[in-house]
Amino acid sequence: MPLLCLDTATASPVVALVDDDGVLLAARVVDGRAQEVLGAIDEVLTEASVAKADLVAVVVGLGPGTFTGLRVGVSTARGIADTLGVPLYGESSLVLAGASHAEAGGSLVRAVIPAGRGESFVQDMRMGDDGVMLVEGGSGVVSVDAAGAATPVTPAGLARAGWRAWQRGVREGEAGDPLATTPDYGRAPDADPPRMDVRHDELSIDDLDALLVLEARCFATPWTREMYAGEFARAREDVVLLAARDAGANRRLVGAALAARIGDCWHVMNVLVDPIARGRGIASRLVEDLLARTRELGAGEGWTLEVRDGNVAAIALYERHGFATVGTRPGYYEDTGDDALVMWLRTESPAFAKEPS
Amino acid sequence: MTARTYLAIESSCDETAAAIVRGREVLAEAVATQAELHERFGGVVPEIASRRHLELVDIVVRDVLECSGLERVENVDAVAVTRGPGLVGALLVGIAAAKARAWAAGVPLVPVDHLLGHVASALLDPDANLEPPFLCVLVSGGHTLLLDVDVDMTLTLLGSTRDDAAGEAFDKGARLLGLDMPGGPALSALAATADRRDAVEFTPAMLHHDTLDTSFSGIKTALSIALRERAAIRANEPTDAQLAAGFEDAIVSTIVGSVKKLLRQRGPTSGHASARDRMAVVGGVAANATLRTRMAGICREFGVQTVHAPLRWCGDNAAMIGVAAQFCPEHAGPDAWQLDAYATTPLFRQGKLVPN
Repeated sequence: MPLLCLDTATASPVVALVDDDGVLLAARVVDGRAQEVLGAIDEVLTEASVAKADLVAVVVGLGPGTFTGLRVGVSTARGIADTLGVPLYGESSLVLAGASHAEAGGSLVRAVIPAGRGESFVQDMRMGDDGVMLVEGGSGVVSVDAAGAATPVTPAGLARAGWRAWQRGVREGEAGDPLATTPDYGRAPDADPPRMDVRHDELSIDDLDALLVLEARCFATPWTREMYAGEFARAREDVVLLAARDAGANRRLVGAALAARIGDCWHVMNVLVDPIARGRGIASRLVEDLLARTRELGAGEGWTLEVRDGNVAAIALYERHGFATVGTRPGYYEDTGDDALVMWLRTESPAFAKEPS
Repeated sequence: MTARTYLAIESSCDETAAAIVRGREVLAEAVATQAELHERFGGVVPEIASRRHLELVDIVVRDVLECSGLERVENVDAVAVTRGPGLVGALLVGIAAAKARAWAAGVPLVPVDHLLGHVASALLDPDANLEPPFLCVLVSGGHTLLLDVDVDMTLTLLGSTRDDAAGEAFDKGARLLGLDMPGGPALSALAATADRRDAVEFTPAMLHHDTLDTSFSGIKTALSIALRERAAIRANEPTDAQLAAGFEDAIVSTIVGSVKKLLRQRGPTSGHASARDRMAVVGGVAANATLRTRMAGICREFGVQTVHAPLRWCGDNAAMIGVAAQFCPEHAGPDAWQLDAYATTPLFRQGKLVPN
């Protein structure tokens, strides 16, 4: 009894027909748009001489990925499963992509799916000895440069992870109701107005776990627990640790910023905002509060920071707050070899004088 | 010959709809509107509409299969679906659902043009028993078209708007008056509260005498100037209702004016079978009471019978797609499974739309 698997999260939709032992019977990589995926499905069934009525279940990649592609894939999978009266199971497209580039018992792989606008969805994972994909760390949206090369879903990977999703669904007694299968867009629609009410207060050591998740969502090379522990251990008057939280009941951490006094100036160590909460002025408010709090503690010569050359949004943010580039540190970022820009805001600078008190 | 039974799906804008249609009979119908969802944005947001279509499309399909007693897609003769024009992302959700269900059930697929669907909605009037050929005015949020409808439902474009569609003009006027969306019905309701004799006079656009085209943007500008002038002198008059009444009159007069021009050009109906002695009024704006009355009046003058699309099938719906499908070829096999959406009706560039 064969199983039909499809994933349309990327520009190259994939279809795979798998038998109930997980053996790949036929597959297509569609060189085009998701609209052509049903044609590919028709072809693989014909090629493997499988009748539609023989299909035992359908597995569909849920995303994240291209919005239109996901909708076409999920709508197609639902229509087929509902009409044939077979269950439909969903699997993360990141897991399907990871399974396409991992080996059983092998090392960590990073699944990377293009997210548009110069960004990628990423998720670190490894394949266990039994072939099951184990997710490690949070998933997130990072810049294309930080994410690394995209990891396309392959027919073999789709067959392998799709078959496991079906096995899991059957084992756990999931109903597989086609109408209950919905895509994970990974992002809110652009037009959705911000509904998030944000509160600003201080970070505490209790935030450490949430901070590490936030780091993983923001940066390809996140700060570690040890690095944060070191900052929390500084003398109270030498460090400012700020938090931005969703005002909802769970007070989820959506942003953080920290500055440490080193010598006679403040180093802005880190400013981060959850990708899903960006564009609402949270980072700007964090920088503003950092400057205000450090001024209360004595600003000394002023503030300095390093920022990755090419991180246009961050550079613009600091410039808006009066920082100016004074030099570069070549190859400062070990992960990519990127240069760092060194920026300064000096207490005697006119920009500082203009700062509201 | 028994009429064929169609499962029809429509998702071109902000209504997710399905219907089961046999001949001119609607066996079951479901329309899920998203109007409320888009209200706060003052218009339809494509990405939000597309997400909502995906949440709703299989629900409306299941609903009509159950309500019609047919239960399974295998029990219909074909699956019809709106191919365009419309929001491509929204259309693709309905198209994917229709293709998948047709494929899985082993029945043909019938791609239907949305405009042809609106024209076919007039065939659903139970009293008129309208069948092509006829003339047609299609007035909606996206289109203002004067059409000749041939016996095989081939549409020939006789005139269209040069700027805004009639429904779009209503929405923009409503926004200027600070009314809620959807603007057309709200503006008409406000206009109805005014004494028509006090309606502000907005001059309909005069286009060259040999064209059947229409223009609405000038009326919108006139309304905006009138509102600004009223504000400048801090006057209470004309009232919003008087302005709305004048605005509605001007839009209706523009539509009726182009119809009158057409009927005059054609001369008196000769009475033989091929004559276009009936005029269908279809599309969302066809629900406007002032337009219905004035269209009936002008057509009577020329001995032409008006057939209005039944009110429930003026707006976007799937029943009209199921009726139009009966004039369109069925597709099965690879070409059907590759079907794509289109944002605008391609054949109208040559002035004709052939059901295909």
